[in-house]
Amino acid sequence: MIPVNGEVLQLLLILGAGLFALGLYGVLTRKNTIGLLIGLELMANAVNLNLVAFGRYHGGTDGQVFTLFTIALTVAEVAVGLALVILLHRSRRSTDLDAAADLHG
Amino acid sequence: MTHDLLALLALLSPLVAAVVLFIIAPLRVRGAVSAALTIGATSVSLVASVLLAAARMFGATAPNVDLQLAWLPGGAQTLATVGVYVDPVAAPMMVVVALVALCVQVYSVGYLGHEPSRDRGRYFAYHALFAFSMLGLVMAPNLLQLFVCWELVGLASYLLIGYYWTKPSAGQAALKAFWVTKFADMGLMLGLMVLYVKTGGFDWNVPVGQALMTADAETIAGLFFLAVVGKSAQFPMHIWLPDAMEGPTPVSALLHAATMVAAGVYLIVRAYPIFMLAPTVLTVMVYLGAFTALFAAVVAVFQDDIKKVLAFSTCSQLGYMVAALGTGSMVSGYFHLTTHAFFKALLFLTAGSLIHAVHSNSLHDMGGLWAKMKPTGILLIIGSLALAGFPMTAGFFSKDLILEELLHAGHYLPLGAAILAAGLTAFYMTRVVMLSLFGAPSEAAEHAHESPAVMLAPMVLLAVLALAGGLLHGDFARMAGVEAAFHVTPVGVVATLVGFSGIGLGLWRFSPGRRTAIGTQWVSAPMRLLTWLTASKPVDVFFAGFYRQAMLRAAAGIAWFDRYIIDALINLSGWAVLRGAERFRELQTGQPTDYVYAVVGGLIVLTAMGVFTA
Amino acid sequence: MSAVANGFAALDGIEILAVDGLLAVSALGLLLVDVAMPAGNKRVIGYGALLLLGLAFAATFTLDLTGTALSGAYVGDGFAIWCKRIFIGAGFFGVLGGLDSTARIGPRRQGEYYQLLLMSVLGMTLLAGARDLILLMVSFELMSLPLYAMAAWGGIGNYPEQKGPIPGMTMPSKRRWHRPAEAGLKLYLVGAVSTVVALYGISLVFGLGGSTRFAVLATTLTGGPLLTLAVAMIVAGFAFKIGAAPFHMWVPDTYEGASTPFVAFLSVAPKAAGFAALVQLLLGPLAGMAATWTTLVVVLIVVSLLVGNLMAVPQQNIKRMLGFSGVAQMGFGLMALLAAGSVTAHDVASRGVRPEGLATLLFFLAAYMVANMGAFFTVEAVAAAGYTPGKPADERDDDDTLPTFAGLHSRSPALALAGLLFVLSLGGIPFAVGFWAKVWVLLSLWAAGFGWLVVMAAALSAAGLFYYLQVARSMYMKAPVGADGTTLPAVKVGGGLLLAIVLLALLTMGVGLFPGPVMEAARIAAGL
Repeated sequence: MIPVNGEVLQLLLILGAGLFALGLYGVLTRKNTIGLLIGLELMANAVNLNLVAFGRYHGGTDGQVFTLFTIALTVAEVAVGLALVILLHRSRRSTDLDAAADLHG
Repeated sequence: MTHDLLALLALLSPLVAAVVLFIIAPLRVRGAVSAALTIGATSVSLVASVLLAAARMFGATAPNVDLQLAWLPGGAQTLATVGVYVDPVAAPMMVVVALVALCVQVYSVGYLGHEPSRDRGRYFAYHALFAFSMLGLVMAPNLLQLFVCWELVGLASYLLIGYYWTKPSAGQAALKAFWVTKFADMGLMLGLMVLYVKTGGFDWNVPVGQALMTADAETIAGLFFLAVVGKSAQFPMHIWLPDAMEGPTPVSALLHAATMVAAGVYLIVRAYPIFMLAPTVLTVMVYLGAFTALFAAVVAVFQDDIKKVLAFSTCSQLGYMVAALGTGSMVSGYFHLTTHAFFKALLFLTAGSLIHAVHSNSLHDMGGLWAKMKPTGILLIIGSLALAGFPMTAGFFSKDLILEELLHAGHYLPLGAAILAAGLTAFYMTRVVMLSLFGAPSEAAEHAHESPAVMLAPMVLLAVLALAGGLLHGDFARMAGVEAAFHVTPVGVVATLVGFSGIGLGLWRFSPGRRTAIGTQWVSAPMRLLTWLTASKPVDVFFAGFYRQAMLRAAAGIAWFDRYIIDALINLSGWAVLRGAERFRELQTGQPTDYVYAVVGGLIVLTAMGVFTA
Repeated sequence: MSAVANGFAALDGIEILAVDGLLAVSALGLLLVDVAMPAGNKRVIGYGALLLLGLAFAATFTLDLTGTALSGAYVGDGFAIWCKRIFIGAGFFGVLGGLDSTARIGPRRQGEYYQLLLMSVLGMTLLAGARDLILLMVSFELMSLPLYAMAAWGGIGNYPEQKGPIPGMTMPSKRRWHRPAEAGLKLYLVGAVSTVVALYGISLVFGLGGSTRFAVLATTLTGGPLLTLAVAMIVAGFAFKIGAAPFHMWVPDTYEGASTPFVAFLSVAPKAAGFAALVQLLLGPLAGMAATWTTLVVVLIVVSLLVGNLMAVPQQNIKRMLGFSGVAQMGFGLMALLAAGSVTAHDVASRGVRPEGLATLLFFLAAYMVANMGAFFTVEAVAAAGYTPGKPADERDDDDTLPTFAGLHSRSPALALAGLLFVLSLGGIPFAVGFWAKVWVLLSLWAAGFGWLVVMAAALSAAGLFYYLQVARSMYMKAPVGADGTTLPAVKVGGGLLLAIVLLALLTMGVGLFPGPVMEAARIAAGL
């Protein structure tokens, strides 16, 4: 296993930040809610990557435990999100975000 | 400990009744239930008050009840407290309030028996509120709570005077009472502010070592006195009291004889440590009180409406109390307050009984009622004798004490006015008795019949106190730390003789045989001028003219300013805000993606700020 | 060192989680009952939830919940217990006031609504004492996820097997049918993004501090640009939950779209929880970064006060108006937080907290809960009376616009009085409870040295009276006539909704008249 020293950590953090930005870009540009959820998933994985990298850097199991929890949280969150998308489809016959823009002002 | 409980019981039982009646409409609309609840609660208060008072008077010296709850905590030091405070000063007033309230409530059951059940329910709910407010005022541990309860009393009295709300004059009277006293209440509020600024609290006992400067004390006491003038109907703010007679007669007995108008006098009693530091205000009190006593007595002679006679008589008697307190003798004023509460409440209730019988307030419509209503007649005579200061009645002792104090303090002019007023008092009460009870019965009086027992019983109780209340004078004196055995003094003898001559003159002038015409026709021309000058008319005209005109002018100016300047500004800014807000609304597009943009934008701003400050 | 590694030793002091355990068992128990019950009106589950929440609330008073559990990951102190009372109290009133509405909207699916609500409350109560990043985030998500589902609960989603109108059932309006989905989705979208942002910040905190324990982090975190970024991300993430501008965009839309009794709960409990999380983090491990985060909080306060007060003015829908005004109210909450943390540098000894500010925050949250829930329940009571002037028949139910309040004082004097009380409390008029809350916050902030912010808040708060008093004017000074000239009907309130409104009104008035004891309790809870 590659040891995570300061240099590797830096690379991993940059990778995480890239993932986060990529996910955010997806969330901001996608009109389709499914695509949006995928972007969200990318952002969450950036968090996981950060946690694992930091965990390995510091040693111990804290980072891995934290990561396991965040994975579970993300899954639950996306599951609720998908349920809401299904609801939106039943309501508007569309999964586009434009369908959910009645309430405003 | 038991005393703490008793004090809480006395204060809170009317509150519970009031709250229950206000909230639970099904109970309120049933007059009988409402009456039972209110009377029950007041009885509890009375019993508790009597027990508390008995342990503090008649030589017994129980420690003061002092339960305080931090109302406004202000960090290290508490800004204000609420609670109950019973000392030898508060205890007798509690008994007076609870007793008269109970008598009036029981009496009302009979007096308002023919009113619709729903209205009676409302009436008794107001009574419970009034009893609570008045007891809260009496038991206040500081002047701030006293003020809050003072306002509550005003509200309750407004509701009670306006009870016949379908009658326009009743509504107007209620409004007039409200505004005049409200104007005066400003004095109390301002006085409290000054007190707080100067002493950092609302206590009437200014802490030792933090002496109040005389100038400050004069300011505070002067402002308080303004409130007293309004509440206790002293000249020239007495104008609301005769009008307030539009309310039901039992209400007049409670509010305008025994308790509410006495609240002003009680304020002086309570804040006496402050008043004692203000000699100028005390002197003003003596002269204004004595003037009111004489002036109102003169006016009372010329009234044909039995309730108005009693109303002016109340003004006059309150003048005695104010004058007495001005001499620096708390005991005499306070003692007269208690005795007056008993016999004036009795007089109002007997008047109510007569009015109930003939369905008219006017003395013209009465006459010859002695034959039909002997018990009421006897009670009326007892009350009149007490008011006239007939020897050995309650009024005799208390009035005598006041005259003595006036003499003692060297206020000879006010003393003369007070003695003259005593004679007039005897005269006009004799007039009332002769005109209403004796002589040829009027048409209405033919069908009169005695009031039911439920109305007579409370009157009998009050009559006993009006006769025997004078025996308490020694205990009152001891409360203030002076031993005062009653003794015959020259001034007392003079006053008694003047009183007798007043009665004699009245008996002679209004004896059934001599009477050619009743009412004001007996007055000769010069007397008529005097009537016009002294009756409340000129004062009313002055007030109506000056006060209203000035107010109207000012109001018109303010209205103009409000309409053209303030409104314009508000409209302008409102318009700007609305236009701006309408623009802002467009930001809330409803597009979910835009909301995420807001989150990201906010995050960027926050990060930038964080980096900027780091 | 993680809780897992410690084995059984981690169970020491677990009894301080008794209330949370009760809530967990309740939620799961109700789930089992729901499954076992035959299909039909499941109103009884609501009563069960009410009873259990009442028990839990009582338990916060009778049990001794102070101490440390889970090897230091969880601490029960006065602050945590006070927060628990707010959460459980809000849950209790949310259930009580929503019994009828829930049974009306989804008679067969009530069970899930109450389970979700209990789960969410459980997340909040755990959050209140969390002293570990993992526990904090897990309980935060446990609180949030049920809220997304509950916001969408009530419309078309309640009838999965149904393609169109149900025969024999009065169709709800289009609003009622479609809008919960949108309300839920908007809450979810902003919420999920914010949560991930906060998580990213927390991952940085973990990385820089090398531990998940607050006690350790407080000593190992030193500063630097990455930590600044982490603080900004954490503040942004939790600002979403409390609905502070500019993270507030979901607030009005979700409030308008979701069912009113749920909004009553949503508008108070999660916001209090958001504050609890901010207090745990900012006054705990991040206390050393006070110079940074107080600046960020000041920005949030200024923007929230401006946006909230300004946007509330033109609103015609009362729920939207309450939403925007809630944003402004959160500005006040943040001011209390600012007062609690602003002198950290001078006062490191007491955990870096100015207890007076913390007490202010606790009192403010309680006052806001009482008045705001009451206001929403009043809206629910009026809307449930079901009359909308000048609207087509299928849009007539559950109208929340201002005209439906016209002349309420003659249609239901008691309800109008209660509504007036809540509005006055929110507006900060003496002597309702909200007055003391605002005054105390302002005094406390003044003492902390933010005079200019106090002046601005007071001025904007006075401007805020405009929209609060507009409701009062509608209730008391307008004839009970609709826009189309028809007389508006009398409003009858009954059952749980009535009880909830009465209790909340009594609290608003009672604590408003006698704020002393509650203020003292808040002081003690804050460790004064």
